[in-house]
Amino acid sequence: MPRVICPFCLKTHDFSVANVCTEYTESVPAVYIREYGKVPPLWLVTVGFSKHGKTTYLAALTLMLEHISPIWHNVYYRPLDTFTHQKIQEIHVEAETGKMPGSTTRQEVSRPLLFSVYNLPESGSRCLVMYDVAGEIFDSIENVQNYVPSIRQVNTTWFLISLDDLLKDKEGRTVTDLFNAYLSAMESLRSDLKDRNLIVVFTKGDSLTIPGMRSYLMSDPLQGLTVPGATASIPQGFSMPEYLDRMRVISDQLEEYTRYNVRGGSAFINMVRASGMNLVFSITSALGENPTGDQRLNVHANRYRVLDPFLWAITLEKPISSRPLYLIVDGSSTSQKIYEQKLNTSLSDILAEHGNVTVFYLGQSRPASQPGQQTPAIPPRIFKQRLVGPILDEISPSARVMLVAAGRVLDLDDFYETIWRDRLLLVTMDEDRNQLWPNSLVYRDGDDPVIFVDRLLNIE
Amino acid sequence: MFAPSFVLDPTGFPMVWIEQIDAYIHWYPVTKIQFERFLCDTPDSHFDAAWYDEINDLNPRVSPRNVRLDNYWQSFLTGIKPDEVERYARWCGMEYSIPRLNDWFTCYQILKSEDPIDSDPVKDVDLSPRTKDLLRNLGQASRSALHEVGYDRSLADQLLMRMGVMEWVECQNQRSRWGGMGETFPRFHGALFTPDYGQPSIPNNPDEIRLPHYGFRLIRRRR
Repeated sequence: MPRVICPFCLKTHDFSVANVCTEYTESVPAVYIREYGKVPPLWLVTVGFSKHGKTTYLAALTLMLEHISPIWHNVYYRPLDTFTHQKIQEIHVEAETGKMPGSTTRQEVSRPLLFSVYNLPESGSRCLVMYDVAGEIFDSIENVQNYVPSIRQVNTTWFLISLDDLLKDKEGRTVTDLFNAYLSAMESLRSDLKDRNLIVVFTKGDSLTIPGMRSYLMSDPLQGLTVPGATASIPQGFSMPEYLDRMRVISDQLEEYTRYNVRGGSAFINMVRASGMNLVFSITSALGENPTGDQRLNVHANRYRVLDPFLWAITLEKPISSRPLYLIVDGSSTSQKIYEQKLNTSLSDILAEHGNVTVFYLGQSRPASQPGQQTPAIPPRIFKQRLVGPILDEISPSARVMLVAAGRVLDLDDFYETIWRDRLLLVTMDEDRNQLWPNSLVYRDGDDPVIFVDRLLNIE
Repeated sequence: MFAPSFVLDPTGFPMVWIEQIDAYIHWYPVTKIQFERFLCDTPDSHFDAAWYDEINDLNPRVSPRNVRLDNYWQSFLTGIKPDEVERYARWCGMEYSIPRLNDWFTCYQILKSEDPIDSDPVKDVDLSPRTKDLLRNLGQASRSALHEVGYDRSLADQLLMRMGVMEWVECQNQRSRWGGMGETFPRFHGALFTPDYGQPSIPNNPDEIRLPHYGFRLIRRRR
């Protein structure tokens, strides 16, 4: 069983005891835990200024997924908990009564929507863990730390922007402002943006006059999915790879448009690229038309290209849960500090966000815990010599290894000229570094374990 | 001409078939790297960190990439007592044991009459990079050692039955159950002992005292 990351607190718990997040006292859906290995989570966060259509878009997307099965055989969708189910019911009611979904409130942000989509062509099955974050949250770093620790886990972010509303913004805000706020937030969480995905979603596409986009929106072959009770089916000859190719072309066109026609657009693109993120663009129309003055949402609205951001997210985010990661922790008589400061469990929890973590005690070739098990919080009963070779000899050379040692590792030098020099990070508890190793860091009291994990994952 | 046939022991090190004793024998005396596999696997609390500290105090460990003429003997696990070797052999499996004096001496005589193998004898054996490094560097260092003492090199020398360590053997009809065969490089341990006569060196109190120049190799006999 893989190590299961709690969707609420992003830590690991012993789910063999109870399906409960002990941090927030929330019940974690059994199906989420059971299917974790074969329906891996896709962590998404939506970011955008208030009233730019985030919640409306999410409503349209969930409605669309609700109607996916009759049209797309074998594909189906399932909310995983009562909260998600109720939220979606609210969206349905709001759609039927013509009232638009309310804007995101701060109280709701830490609770994600949890739903799984099964058997998508080319993509398989994924469990979406989706956080809708109010734009105002990004106004202050304190807010970010209090409300959205989830964004540290999230690999894919939707930036939902209404260009029309941005143009009319009384405060003169730009897309660069939004990205700056996001960037600051991530930096405050000491999170590395490299290789993360940023999907810019231009909402309210029906109001935009970007060349070529109107015809792209209206020629959506999946548009039939958005009409409740529709009997339409996927057009004959529909090909998902071709659809994705078309999305890439549109992304390039939107990027060019943004660079030359959106205020601050060029700076925004340059900043994102400089951070090492993958950047793509898409355009949607969640209503098909502007809402009326009383914010009525027409239930029979024609929604266009609503699935594009979702398909981008699935396409860009390769499941990383299978990446083998190893944490080897000193269990010798001088290693107490590691256990007193709970460094081993903290590192293991953070590593688990990036792959399957197996934990060893230094000097013991049998794992202390396998992926999915709790990391032992105490040192081993027998103090063994600091030896790593018998462990390294048995694990895949493609793995990444974090070795936490409170003293010299007797045989680490054996591996100095092997592939492990670029795969193993040595974390020493000892200021007097007497061990020569190309990738090493000293742990000092109060250091954030995230630093070490980021370093391990970014060894070139 | 001797055509070696190899198998790997549980630590991934080669053993060579010797027809005359109907068994495989380790190509080299057991190294620290091999023994470390055991140390990391055994639940036996006897072999804890303090035990290995004591062993390394007697003959400090050297990394395979640093093996030279002036330190190559540090690669071998020495200072071990016979009963500890037996525990290691049990961990390797039921087929493994300390060679009897006759086994060791028969191998020595057979191999001493053969020329060494010029090309890398274990080149076709599936070894880990670390093991390959160690065996290559040990081969070069021991060849230099033989040259330094002025010995002609035979296949037995290629297996480090001389210029290696004193190796524990099980004796019958001797005053002690445990004796030593082999010959050490004088820079490691000066002793005018030769295995050529088939008589073992008999240490006093082998179960009590750790001898820094005593190591071992095992045989694997089909059961």
